[in-house]
Amino acid sequence: MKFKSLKQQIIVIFLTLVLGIQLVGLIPIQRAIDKNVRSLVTKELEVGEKVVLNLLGSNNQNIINGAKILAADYGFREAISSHDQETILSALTNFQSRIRADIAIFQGVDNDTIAVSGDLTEQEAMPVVQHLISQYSASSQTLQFEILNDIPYQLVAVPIKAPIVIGWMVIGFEIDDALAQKINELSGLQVTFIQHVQNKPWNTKVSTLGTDDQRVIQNYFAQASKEVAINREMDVQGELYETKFLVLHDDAENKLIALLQRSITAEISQYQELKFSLLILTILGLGIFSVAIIYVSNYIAKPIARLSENAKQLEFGNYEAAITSDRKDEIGELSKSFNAMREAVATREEKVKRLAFWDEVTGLPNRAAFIQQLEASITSHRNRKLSLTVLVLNLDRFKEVNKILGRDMGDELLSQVAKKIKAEMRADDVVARLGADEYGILLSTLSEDLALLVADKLKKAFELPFDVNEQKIDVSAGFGIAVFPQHGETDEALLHNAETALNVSKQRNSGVVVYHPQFDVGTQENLTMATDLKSAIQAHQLVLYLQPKINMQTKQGYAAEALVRWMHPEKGFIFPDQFIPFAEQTGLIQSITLWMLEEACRVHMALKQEGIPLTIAVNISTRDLIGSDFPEKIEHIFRRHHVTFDAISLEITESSIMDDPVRAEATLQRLAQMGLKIAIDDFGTGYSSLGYLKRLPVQELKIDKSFVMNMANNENDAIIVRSTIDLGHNLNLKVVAEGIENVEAWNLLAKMGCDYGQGYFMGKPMPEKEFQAWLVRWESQSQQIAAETTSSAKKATVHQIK
Amino acid sequence: MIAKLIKFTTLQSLGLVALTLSQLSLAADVTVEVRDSKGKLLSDAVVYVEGSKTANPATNKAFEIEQKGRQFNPQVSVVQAGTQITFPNKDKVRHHVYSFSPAKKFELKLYSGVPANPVLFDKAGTVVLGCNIHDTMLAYIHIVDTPYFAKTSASGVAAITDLPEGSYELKVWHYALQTDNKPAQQAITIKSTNQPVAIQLDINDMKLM
Repeated sequence: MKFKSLKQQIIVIFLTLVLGIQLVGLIPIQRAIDKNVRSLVTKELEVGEKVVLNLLGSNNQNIINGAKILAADYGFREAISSHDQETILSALTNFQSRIRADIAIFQGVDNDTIAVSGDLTEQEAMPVVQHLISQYSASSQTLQFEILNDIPYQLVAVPIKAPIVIGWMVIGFEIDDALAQKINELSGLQVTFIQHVQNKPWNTKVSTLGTDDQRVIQNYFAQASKEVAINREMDVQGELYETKFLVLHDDAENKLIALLQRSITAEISQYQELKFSLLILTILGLGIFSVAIIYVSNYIAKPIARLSENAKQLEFGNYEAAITSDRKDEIGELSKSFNAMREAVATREEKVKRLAFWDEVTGLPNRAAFIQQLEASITSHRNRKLSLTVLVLNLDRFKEVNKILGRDMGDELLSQVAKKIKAEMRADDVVARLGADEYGILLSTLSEDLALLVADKLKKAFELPFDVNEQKIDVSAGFGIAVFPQHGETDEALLHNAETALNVSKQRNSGVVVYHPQFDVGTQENLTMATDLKSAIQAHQLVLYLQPKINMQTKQGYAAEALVRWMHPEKGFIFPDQFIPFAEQTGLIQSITLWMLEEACRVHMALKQEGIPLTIAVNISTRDLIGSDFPEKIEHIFRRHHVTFDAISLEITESSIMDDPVRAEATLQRLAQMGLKIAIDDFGTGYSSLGYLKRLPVQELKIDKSFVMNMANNENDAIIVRSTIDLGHNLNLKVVAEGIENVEAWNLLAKMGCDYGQGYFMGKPMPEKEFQAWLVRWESQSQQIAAETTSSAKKATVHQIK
Repeated sequence: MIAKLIKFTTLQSLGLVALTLSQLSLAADVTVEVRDSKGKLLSDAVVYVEGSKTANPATNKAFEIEQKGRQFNPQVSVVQAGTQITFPNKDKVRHHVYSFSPAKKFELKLYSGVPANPVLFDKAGTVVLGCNIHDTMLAYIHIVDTPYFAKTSASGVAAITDLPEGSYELKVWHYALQTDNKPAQQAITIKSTNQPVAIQLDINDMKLM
């Protein structure tokens, strides 16, 4: 059997048990009743038999007493002595009616006189009287029964004495229903007198049973006439009788038997009431037990069901509802454990959620949370047809901060940035940390113009240094903006496009950039760039450009920085900032560096043959510095091109040294030993310590163009430039200024003592073929510089793209 | 059938011889010993002789049967026909003496003391006396037509005296006789000497008082 519930199980098992016990208990009860009834009935029959015999005996005595009165009557005896037949008969008849006898017979002792009163002839009476007289005993009266004319009688013979016996009187009473009823009343037995006269069938003359029952008994005797036992259980139409046979008369021809019967069935049916009561009690008990069991099973199973329900709630992630139980038993304990488990799971999930949606360092939501929020906002803004702006910003040179100041400081800086952003934003704007040094801001209901204002405000805020553990740190950032719905309809597109704009901003170093679909072309190209770039070198698609580097004291232009351009067969001219970061990521930068070195050597030799002794500076990347065989490769190239080590110099950015300062230093030492001149590029943007720089075998510092370009407007930048120049000189280094765009800058730098200059004012990057022509032009231009120093030169504010 | 009941002894055959010898003798006594079939001596057996050639002398003596202690006394009497019997009541209670016997039917309704008139028993036969109010009272009177009669004593012997010599019919009656009140008979011859006679009766023990 399979149970659906614990409750059902408890109920079924216990009720079955109880029912079983009850039923088993009924069996001995049933047996006891049966046994009891039978012994009771047997006893009742025995008692009943005595009662019947007593009744018949006392009947007999009554008749005798009555008869004796007549027998003693003087007149009657006188009539007898005088053989007065008429008088005798009338006296008999009188007597018969007085005692309500059915038969009265007188017979003289000498057999000469007989008088019969009753439904009987003298001939019929004679043998009966003779028999009775022969059976007579004065001391003990035996019961005498006879069947006369098919009618059973109880008979009594009394002698008539005068004073010796002069005759006999026989009195007979018919055995009738009255007698049967009387027997029944006194003994409580059913009585049936059944007789068998000569060859006639057994016949019941008198009975307290119904005629149908009598017929059954007659049949019973007819079948078993010869072997009627003394005691027998007799089945009379479904009613079982314990039966006693009382043989009243038995001679050759006639038989008269009294059947005394006690119904076993009736007796048992009395117990039926007891059994019914027992059954009621059983049912009642079962009912009470059922209620108790249901209560108990509820008591046990319900809390378990509730716990199960609670567990289901936990499964659905609902940890709110506390699981309580005021019970002290095992279930109470289980509930407590369950609740503790619920709390533990809830706490853990809370933590997981926080980790999943929360940034530990800044206390801001993380990228996942930002995207969720963005998705929700898009949905609500779409419905309300409102615009929505995603602003992402990325810290410049955060990696260096981490490297130099340590991770703790880096984290602190990130936290400070977060605080600053939060402070600048409205309360309901969502600020999140999207990546290492990238933040995202969700500006609700802001149009592009307003978003730009917010971004500018934020950018301005970044101009103040951050105070990290009592150190002031200058941090700049790039900003990218994408506006819903014009720049993307989904959270994914919107964020992606904002980040694309950010990338553009970073690449161009141009502050705030709003997304433009054009950006996507470039980024899509990125996908195929990897494969294209690999083949670009072999396919001679890369071109070397030269940007002149002028000695500011001599105004001679016999040095240049080698820059790379990609002539893509389909996409045309590609600036290096579109593929160099990518090449650095993929490692292709090493191939490009080697190609540049080869090409620089080739160009140098070509110009040398033209009579131009040009020193060409080639940029090398972090990866180049890390590669341990880099110096050998350079040496190999130079030998192949028969180029001396002073013909080519190397430029390396401050930040790329800082990626792995130890190995970088080792590589640079070897290169310096080979006789290569080394310059530090973009000086001022990194965080290299002067102590470290001092150890490096460098000959040149190249001041970052951002300082130079702002020099005219920004006093601080001018100070930085001047300090850097002084610093360089103090360390015995040559100083190069980049980004010189006008004559004022030239003059200022010249006055500051800067050694070399580079910029659009002197010359843009150009193919090698144009260099000779430029040189000619520069010769004449440089003549004018001294003259024009005082005059205001035309300010060119063309963006320099390196 | 009666012959069967009476057994003759050797003495009887001797008697037959003696009869011829005593023709001339005047009187003699006869002693009768009565036993039942088991040999037990019977008392109250009535013994009498009939067939005398001489006329029966009428004795007609007065006879008395008293009632005392609710009993008749004597319980068995033998009288010659024509005897007057008085029934004096010696008890304090009264008695109602009656007889339904054919030999003499009478009743003396409740009385005390001696009834005024005696009752004449003039017919031979047996009279059974009873008291109508005391069922246990019972007495027999055997009335004979001869003066020669006697009743056996407790020793079962009766003697008839002064019997003239001659041939007689000896009859023995007892109230408890098995057969219907018929006396046993035996022919006897009386001689001068006392001739003892032994008689055996078939007695119904149930009837014995």
